[in-house]
Amino acid sequence: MSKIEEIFSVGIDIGTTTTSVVISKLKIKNVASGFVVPKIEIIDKAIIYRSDVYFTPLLDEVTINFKGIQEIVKDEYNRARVDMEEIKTGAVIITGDTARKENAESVLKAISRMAGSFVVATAGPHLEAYIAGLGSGAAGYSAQNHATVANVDAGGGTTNISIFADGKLTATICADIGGRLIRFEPWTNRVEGFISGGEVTAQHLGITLEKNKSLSIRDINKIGGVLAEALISTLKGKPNTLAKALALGELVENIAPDYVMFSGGVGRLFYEEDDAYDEKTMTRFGDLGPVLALELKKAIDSESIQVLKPDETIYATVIGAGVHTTELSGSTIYVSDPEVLPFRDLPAICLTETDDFYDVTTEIATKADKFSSQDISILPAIVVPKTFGNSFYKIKSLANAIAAGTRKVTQKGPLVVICEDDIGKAFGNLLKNTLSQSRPVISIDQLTMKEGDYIDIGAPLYDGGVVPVVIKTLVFSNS
Amino acid sequence: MITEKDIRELVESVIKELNIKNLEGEGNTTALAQEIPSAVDNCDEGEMLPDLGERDLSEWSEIPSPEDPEGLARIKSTTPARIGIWRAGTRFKVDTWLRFKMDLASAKDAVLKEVDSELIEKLGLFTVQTIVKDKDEYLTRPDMGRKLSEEAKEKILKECTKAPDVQLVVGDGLSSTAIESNALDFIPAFEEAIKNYGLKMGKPFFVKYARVALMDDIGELLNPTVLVELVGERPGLVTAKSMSAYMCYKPNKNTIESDRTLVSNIHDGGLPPVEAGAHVASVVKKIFDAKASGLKLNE
Repeated sequence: MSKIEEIFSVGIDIGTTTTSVVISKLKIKNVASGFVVPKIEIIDKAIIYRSDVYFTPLLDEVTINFKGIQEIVKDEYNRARVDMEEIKTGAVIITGDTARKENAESVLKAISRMAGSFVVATAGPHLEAYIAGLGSGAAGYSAQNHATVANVDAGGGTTNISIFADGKLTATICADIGGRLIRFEPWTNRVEGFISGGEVTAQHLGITLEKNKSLSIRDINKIGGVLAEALISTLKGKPNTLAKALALGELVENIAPDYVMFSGGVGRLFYEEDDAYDEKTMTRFGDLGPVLALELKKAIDSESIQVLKPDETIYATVIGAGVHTTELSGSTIYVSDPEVLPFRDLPAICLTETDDFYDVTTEIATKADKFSSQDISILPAIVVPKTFGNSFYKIKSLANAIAAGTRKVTQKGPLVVICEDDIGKAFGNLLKNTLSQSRPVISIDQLTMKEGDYIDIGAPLYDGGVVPVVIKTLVFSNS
Repeated sequence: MITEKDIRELVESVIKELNIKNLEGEGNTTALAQEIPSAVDNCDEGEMLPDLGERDLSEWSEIPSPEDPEGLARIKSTTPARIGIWRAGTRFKVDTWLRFKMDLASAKDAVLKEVDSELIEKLGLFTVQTIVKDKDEYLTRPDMGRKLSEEAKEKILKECTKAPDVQLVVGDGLSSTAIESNALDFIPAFEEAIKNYGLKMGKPFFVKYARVALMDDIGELLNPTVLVELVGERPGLVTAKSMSAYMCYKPNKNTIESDRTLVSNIHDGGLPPVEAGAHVASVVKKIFDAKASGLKLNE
């Protein structure tokens, strides 16, 4: 029996309204039988600790309170009895309206660096939609039942929809719909504040929003109603006028999910037993959450889409980030100098298949040049598609071409190669022997990446057998 | 007493019944044949018959109208085993039967054919032979495939240096096809990786009519630290191309089977030969450092 290695993984979600931390234990094992090559896989993912759900600490309307978040993370690690050094992988995700704050990027980077040795920073509504879909169990249900499942992650500032067919992500849609578009003084109808999505919706209905003025119950209900309607129309691939006005990026048409799950804060309310909604309880959280959940329930009832209960609602994103973002590379890889790892946010350049290997040299030089002007001292990762084949002659020529390419670029330092085919170890050895200037070589395989994707590569696990990676991409199977 | 007349009547009635059944049967066959035209029906005069060997076993199903085609395709994609190939009565359908015969034939070929001498030359290997005289003897006397001939010993001592860190030997084993399909990609990838580990490699050679335990005899002769022997695996009906790499720390006449380390299933549908070369080299490095192979390596 081969051994089982256990690592801790963290997920940190800094959302529009709430921040939460989840710690899980991943078990890694060589699942191959004795006489074949190792096949190292994550065989078990167990959540060992969930933090409370905190209100995201802000300094003012446009600034996140970094210290506050740092404290939450530290306190939660203490309570979970886990040391920062023990956290080997995971992800921080900054979501919804919080991602638009002025210091969002620097907070994200700083938190990811303090949270563990290989905790990646992720952001962006489309990635968030995907991660929520992984965490809610929509992706898993879709794979198991070979069905098309939509996950609607409705949070405070935004709603992110991901659609999975047969377990694979086919589309993501994002919109400025959420429980906190308008904030009230809790248990009353007095408006405390609103963000642009709230304003757009009110205007759409001819309602004027003003701070410290009360809204009538009818108006609050109306706002919840049109938001729910807009969301359902988006989900059906037939966005109405309001849905178009609130959309972030492109809308996707002609989608027809068989099933839908709701996650996020509004998702949690969606599955709760109906409360008697009166004037007061409606705004008990000081926002539109309850009314939006209620209206969504009404609106989805008349649709042919079947509603499923997700594994997770409010924790979906944080669990997706902490438990499901880490992948392992193929199990025969080449890492000449493990101490140069981890790498964060390495852009990928994808080689174009050709018979003339001189083209490869030129392509590397040209593409790498684009990144040299930016603040990146390391070469982008070079992706070798399967179409290059795996005969020794071919990969030898390719190694020569890549070595020639690296002589033409300004970036010093390690050479990272990502092979789609199972040739990482052979190719790494070849490259190391071929390079005229000595550079560390990292050659990993059995991963699919596209031009413009980013990859984070962690330090080797399982006696150097594999590296954990997080690929930041949205691979749509229909594109 | 049964008279001749009785017998005649009986036979006539049976034949009559049979004819009726046959007619019904023919009707059925035609209907089926229209639904799923066989390879033969698809051909016009002058055209070539399709090459059944090119069909991917993990996609090939003959089930006439499956209830869930996508589900069937999913199951099929997990295995090259002959599932969902349907039947004609209690027998195979013609196309699948022909393919079966073809795979059986190529398995036999792999065992009985010799490794192409041109390929051995291209690999830069010299050839020696065990004490076995011909294929018949090789197949019937496994013990003889484990001993080098006097002539072979002489040649090896002349060509090779003694006590290298790593000695690579290529043996035909039970599949010449396996060596022909994999050695060309395996050997250079192996050499590159060994070079990278800073190990000294002896001059590799090819042994005709070789069994796995031949490595013990070679170990006695050359005394390498680690010996790697590539052999063709006994072919099956899915592939005849699968090659194994056996590794042993200082093999000698006292070596037992559990002292050997093995990487099997080296072929394009398993571990690609190029990657296998690099992987086997890394296992060699592990054996070299641990001064042990086989079960002792795992201790």
